[in-house]
Amino acid sequence: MYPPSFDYAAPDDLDEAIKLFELHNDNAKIMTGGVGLINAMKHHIIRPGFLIDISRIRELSLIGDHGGYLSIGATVKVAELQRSDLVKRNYTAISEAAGAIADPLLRNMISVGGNVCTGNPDDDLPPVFLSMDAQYILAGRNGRRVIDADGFYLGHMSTAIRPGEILVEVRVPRQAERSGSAYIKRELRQNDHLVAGVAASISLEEDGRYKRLAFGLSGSGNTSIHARLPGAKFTGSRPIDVPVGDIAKMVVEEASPLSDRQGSASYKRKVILALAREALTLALQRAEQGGQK
Amino acid sequence: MKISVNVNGRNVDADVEPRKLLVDFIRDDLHLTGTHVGCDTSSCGACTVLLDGVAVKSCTMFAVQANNRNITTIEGLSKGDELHRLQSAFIEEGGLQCGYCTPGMIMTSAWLLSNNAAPTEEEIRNGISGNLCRCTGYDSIIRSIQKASSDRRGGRK
Amino acid sequence: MEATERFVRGKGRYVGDIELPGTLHLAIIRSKYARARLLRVEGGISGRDLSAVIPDVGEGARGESWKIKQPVFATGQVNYLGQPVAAVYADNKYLAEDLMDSVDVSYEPMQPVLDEQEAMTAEPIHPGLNSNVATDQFIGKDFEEKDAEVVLDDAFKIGRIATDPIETRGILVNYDGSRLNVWVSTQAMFSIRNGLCATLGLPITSVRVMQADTGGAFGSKSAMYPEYAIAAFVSMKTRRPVKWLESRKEHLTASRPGRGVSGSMKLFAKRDGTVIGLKGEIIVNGGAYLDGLARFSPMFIGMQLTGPYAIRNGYIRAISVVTNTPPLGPYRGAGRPEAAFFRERMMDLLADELKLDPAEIRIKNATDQVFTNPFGMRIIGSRQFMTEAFDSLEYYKLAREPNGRRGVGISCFVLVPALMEGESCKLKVDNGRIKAWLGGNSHGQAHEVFVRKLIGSTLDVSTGVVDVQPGDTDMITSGVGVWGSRSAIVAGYATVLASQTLKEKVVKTKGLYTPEYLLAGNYEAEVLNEKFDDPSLNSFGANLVTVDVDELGEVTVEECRSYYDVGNALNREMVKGQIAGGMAQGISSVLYEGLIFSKDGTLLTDSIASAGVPPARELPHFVTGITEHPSSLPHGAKGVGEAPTIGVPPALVRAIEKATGVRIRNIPIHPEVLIGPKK
Repeated sequence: MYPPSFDYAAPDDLDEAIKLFELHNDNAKIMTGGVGLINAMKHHIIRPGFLIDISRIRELSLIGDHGGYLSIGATVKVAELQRSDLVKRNYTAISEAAGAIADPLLRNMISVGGNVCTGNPDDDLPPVFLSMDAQYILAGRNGRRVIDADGFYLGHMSTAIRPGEILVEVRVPRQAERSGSAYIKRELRQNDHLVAGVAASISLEEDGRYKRLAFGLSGSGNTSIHARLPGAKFTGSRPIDVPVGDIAKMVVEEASPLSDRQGSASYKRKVILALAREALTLALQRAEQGGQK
Repeated sequence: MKISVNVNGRNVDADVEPRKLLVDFIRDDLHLTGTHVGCDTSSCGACTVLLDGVAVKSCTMFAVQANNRNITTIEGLSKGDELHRLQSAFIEEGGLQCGYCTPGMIMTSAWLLSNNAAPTEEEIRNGISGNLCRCTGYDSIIRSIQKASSDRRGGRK
Repeated sequence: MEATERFVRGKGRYVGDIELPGTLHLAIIRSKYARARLLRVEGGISGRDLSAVIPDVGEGARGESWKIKQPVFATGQVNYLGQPVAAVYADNKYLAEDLMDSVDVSYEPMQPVLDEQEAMTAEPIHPGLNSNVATDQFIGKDFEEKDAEVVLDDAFKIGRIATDPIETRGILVNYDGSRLNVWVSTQAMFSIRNGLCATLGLPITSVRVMQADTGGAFGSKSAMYPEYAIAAFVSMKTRRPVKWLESRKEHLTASRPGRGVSGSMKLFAKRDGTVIGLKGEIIVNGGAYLDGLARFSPMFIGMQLTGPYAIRNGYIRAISVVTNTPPLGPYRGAGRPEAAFFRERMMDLLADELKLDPAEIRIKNATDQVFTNPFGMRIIGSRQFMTEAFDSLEYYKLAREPNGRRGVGISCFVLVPALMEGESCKLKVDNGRIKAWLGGNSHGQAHEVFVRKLIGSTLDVSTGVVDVQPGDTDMITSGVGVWGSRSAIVAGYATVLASQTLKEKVVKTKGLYTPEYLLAGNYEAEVLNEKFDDPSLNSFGANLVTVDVDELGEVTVEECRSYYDVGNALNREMVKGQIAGGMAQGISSVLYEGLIFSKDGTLLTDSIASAGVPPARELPHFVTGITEHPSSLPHGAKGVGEAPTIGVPPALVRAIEKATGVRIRNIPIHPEVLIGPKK
């Protein structure tokens, strides 16, 4: 339950971190909050020779409203994200997902970057970011690149991040007027693998028709899932004409949950269906109450 | 690696291996054994300390991550012989049986009350959900926190 | 300083907190498989260096282990995941863990047998045996079934549970050249002393065991374990102090878990609801190596199957089997919850069959006088208790309320405390103060509080003059331990008797007793309890639970109430604290907790969270009702510690059954079961 030896650096400058990462790339790991990493190291699941702690790089620790988008630094603690009034008001599902992570103490330790960039299907923030068309900013030797969350999650514990790259920021497009979002999840036990989670993010036209609707799923496959079908099918429909249950059924079609100790695949589908219904209903209510202020 | 931390108001300079967990630094190097270890998976919260005033699980941090920061452990909560109101309340309300989870539970409660002076029962249940107690069923712990909260508002130290 | 004050200040002295200069830290290399041939072990200390077996000591001990004895280190074959194979040590725990990589172990995995029912027919797990069945006996007497108007049968299963105290096991051993000085987290310091002596072939006088502050136990800390022998062996070999602290993962694989029992029941009744007899079969999963507890357990469960009811006929087949799981240990209740679950499930089934109210059917089968059941268990009249209990729990009111997805369940049970003789108290008066030692000491039950109270009231002195000393086998002749809801009864009784002995000594020297004479002198008394029996010590309890179950099968416990006869409560607040904590464990044993293995024997629940120890937000507020009908002992005490883990599960599953219409036969329950087709 103790990690093997390693070297450690905590640069306060991003360029320095990138340089170190390049130098030690074959056996270095980036540490933001460190919770997932340290647990894996204590259990000898990974044995990095070098840890680059980026939590002291100030520019990565900020939440900011940049007009067109919300900027969330990679080392922002999820507790801070949960508490942020700006996030709560305009990006409700992000606040809810942050508040659904682990427990109150771990939320003081876990960073946004850590929750976003592992490709673990149980992570709570990725489905919300997927549903909101977020972008991830990756920094590396050759500068920065922007990648859509949509193309980021490749498979179980696998993402589009390249060797030497560090996730530095998440950008979430400003939510339109009359938009609303929600994230709900089910666990059998706190801090254990979850059963499933659903993020719904919608916006309405002035006349009340669906302008956009999108869903993200956790615990519903081998990585985080963006359920696009309902958006393609129901954009332009009026909520009153499309039962929430029909949309939720379509969300379930895009899930491919695995049978395990948390439940059989068919049970998980029932859970996803119920959560999708609930999340969409909440998101709709929020959108109809005005959404973005 | 050389680190400098402030522990319970005292500055400490130390040379630690990067792999040393903060909880082991506190227990084995500083001999502050009130901070406990109960699991290996950051589930139980027996190791809870305050880092710059915020409750964290010291079993899931390296000591080097605390460099240049302030740590408060259970030993730093009381002022000499005088118990902190949470410590008194846990005794008065029977908020402990075996006592092993107690220091972590009290540190979390201190952080909880620093953010919310008068939490509801539900807020307390959620607030302490990162700390496991196997003995009490939590009712007496919740009463203890409520008592400390009302003592504080009543002006008791 | 009071124990509670030490604990809130972080000044507890748990075994991990005790530092001796030059301490070596031990790390154990454990089997990666539930069953495998052990082809090679290179490096570290292993069975080649220490070839010894674990004796039968601790809760449920019968003096001798079964014919296949648990080795300290596995040799030839490993028989459960986590079984010790080798050990290494170093100057600190990080280095010790690094050294684990230096030990080379190779295995040839074999198909494990993990489940008690599977074990009945599977090939024997131990070479040289014909079967996995270790004990197979009938208790009670076969009876004619022809009078029965209703015959109901059903089968149940209770999964294995880790005890999961927040402090895991741990030991510190310092061999000083002539004696082993041992600090250990335990419920039974004499069991550890005797166990070390038997394992290592040492005389009793050469081992001193001191109980460190013990951070909960719930059954798992009374037995002798391989790691203790290894630590002692290394300390003797190196002449240095040796410390071993269990990780949580080790706790979940290699500490003794509880439960793991299947039961099939057949109930015979009249149409008016009178139960006339019970037949059945109990199969206990004893784990890889069986000791007294595992062999006794099926009979202990069988013996209690009539509970508080006057059921005159009973015939039970009681079986224990070996499997490729850790040796069975006691977990809070240890056989009592199993008996209550099987019986109360059948009583509810009978109520449903006859369309009678569950409370009515229970009261109908109660007794008004002392009743000896077909297996020899004696109870006093239970009818009045039950009548009071259902009123006090507000059962009739709650059962009438509209339910929807809500359900109400009740249960009744008998708590049979572990009364074995030999519990002890030593008192010494010196310098105006009274020092007290016990043979079995607190690990969260605050023994010091009732000891002070009983000494104070018996000797008419202020409780402030009493100093309750930490457990130390050098300071008292012998003792048993803290389990089986026994302490208030037996340790309390020993304390009263020792106090009375002091009184007699004062009278002998001074002609009469006064507290002043006592405190001015030097007196000593030590008492070992003799065996006593009193059916009123088999105390009654009842629980009520209400739940709400949502469309996904998630259960929310809304009300969890007790009505327990605790005898004369020596400290009401402590009693209520024990009840609330036990009710939490009762709930989680139904909804959350279990050790789950995959077919190949991998543990799927390998953290305290996945093993199901619940946080505050998953538990309700508890209503801890008690009633006090004193026992015939001078201090009137009865047991309480295990009552909630016995009574809550059957009431909770009944509430869930009422809410969902799904008949519950197995615990723990996965929510998925509750949205399946109704049965």
